[in-house]
Amino acid sequence: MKRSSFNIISLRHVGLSFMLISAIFLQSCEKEHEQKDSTLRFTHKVGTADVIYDSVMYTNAASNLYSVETLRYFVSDLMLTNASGDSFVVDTAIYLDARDEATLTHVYSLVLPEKDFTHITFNFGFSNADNHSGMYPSLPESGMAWPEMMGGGYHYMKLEGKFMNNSSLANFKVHTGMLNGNANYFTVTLPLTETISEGHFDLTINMNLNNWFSDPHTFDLANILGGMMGNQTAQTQIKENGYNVFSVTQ
Amino acid sequence: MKKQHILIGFLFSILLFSGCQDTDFQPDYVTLNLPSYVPPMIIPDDNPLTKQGIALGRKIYYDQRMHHSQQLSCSSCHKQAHSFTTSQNCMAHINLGWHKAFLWNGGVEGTLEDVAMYELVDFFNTDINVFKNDSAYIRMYKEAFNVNVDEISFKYATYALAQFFRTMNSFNSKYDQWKRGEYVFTQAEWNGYALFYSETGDCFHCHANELFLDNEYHDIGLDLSPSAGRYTVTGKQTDFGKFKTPTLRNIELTTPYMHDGRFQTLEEVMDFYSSGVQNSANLSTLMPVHNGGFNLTSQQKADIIAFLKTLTDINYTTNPDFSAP
Repeated sequence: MKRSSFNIISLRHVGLSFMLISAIFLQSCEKEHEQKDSTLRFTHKVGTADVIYDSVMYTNAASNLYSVETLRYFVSDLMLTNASGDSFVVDTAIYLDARDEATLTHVYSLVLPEKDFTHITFNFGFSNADNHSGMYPSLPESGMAWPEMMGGGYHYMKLEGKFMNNSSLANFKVHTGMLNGNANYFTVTLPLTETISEGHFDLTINMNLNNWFSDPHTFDLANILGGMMGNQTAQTQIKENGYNVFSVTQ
Repeated sequence: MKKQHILIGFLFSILLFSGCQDTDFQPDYVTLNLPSYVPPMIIPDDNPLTKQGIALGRKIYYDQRMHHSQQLSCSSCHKQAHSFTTSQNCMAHINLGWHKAFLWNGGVEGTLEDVAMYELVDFFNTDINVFKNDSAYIRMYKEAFNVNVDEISFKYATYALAQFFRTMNSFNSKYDQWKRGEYVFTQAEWNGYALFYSETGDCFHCHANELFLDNEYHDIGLDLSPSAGRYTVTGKQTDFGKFKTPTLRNIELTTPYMHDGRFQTLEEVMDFYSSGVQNSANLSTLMPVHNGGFNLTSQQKADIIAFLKTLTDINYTTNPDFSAP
């Protein structure tokens, strides 16, 4: 009996020790993860105010009075870079629906090298090499498919709404993509106000919608009444205006 | 020592019991044979497809005792020859395994199990004793879900129906054969394809991907003052007049068209899209309004219809696996 009691006590000690060690180990893991979590948020504004959807209330550089109803897009090859040319891949591709909160915040458990990152860069849409039909078979991403006969792959962006056209409301669709293989995507490089050197980041990337319609091209929505998917001139103009659309805050 | 013996005995019992469960209930699991180009289907973990579950769901689908009047079944309105719809203009039962909302206004959201529950409990007001008093059902519930007569419930009925729905897939149309390299489009079909996937015809933005739907709601401008549609579900003014995008697969067989069945032919539908679009308050941003529609020529309309007819899958409407058991 005595020996049996001893065994039970020993087992208890072993079990207790195991539990304590496990708890300490798990806790340290959790802390490590907490320290590494990084966050990327996307916001959408006209000027300095968050977009109010479905209301014809904005005026662009072409004096179009317009509303925003749909804003969906891809960004890809998101990287942090530093002055030495080092880079760190944050994400390969992100689908965003400005009206779906679930798509706007992305949390990463990453081990960032201590490289004093000074910029975040990404492609608006996909590079031609990365833009393949069939990558996303499921909705909602598959709803962004760009027709095969027009080059295939996926829309970079669907920006839709209504605008006043000759005193009546008309629809507009700013749809961009790899028209006939043309590289209508562009690379955005945003300088950070503070270098990232502490192993994690918390960044907010903002899209200022009105900037799609100005600088260098004053983009008149009346010129794309039938759409612009097959219009390379319009694709180029939106691309060239796009360099000034994004900003980043920390 | 006594405690240790009890513990060992208890553990042994669990092992023995779980072993018995495994050997007693071994349904035939079914893997769907779907084309590589369709998205993964939504199948809840707790309701895998089995031969026995599908058979039970099929029996329920065709059983006229499901309605409280005992005179209506799912199949009363969803006729296989018409791609599981009828002139009463209910939405077709085809490729439902990818839907997240059901009915024209999306009034039932969730899984196929959820919509099956709605159909049996809310729409049909089914008497659960129809199952419990029928020896064939008692046997089939046991085979499908390992439940006894006192355990038969709407949960298992809806699980079985959902399993049957998930087998009702149509991917053997001329379009699918073309995708597989087994069919060559005629010139008209090819022209229609090109129009469908361009902003000239602009069908593809809503009738998207290989399922030809977007799981969204649109007001396509049928009326200047449309009926409420999605608004009745959400209460949002911006949803007034919006209805769920139907699939175009087997569209040739699912006349009449639109949520209220106002069009009898695809020609009428094309005429509407070409010149009949009304500038309603919530008109979809994908619809052109400046000229009343897409302004298609007669040839363009005919070509688009030719392409739409490549989505007809007679195998689906004649498949004995989907017919009355």
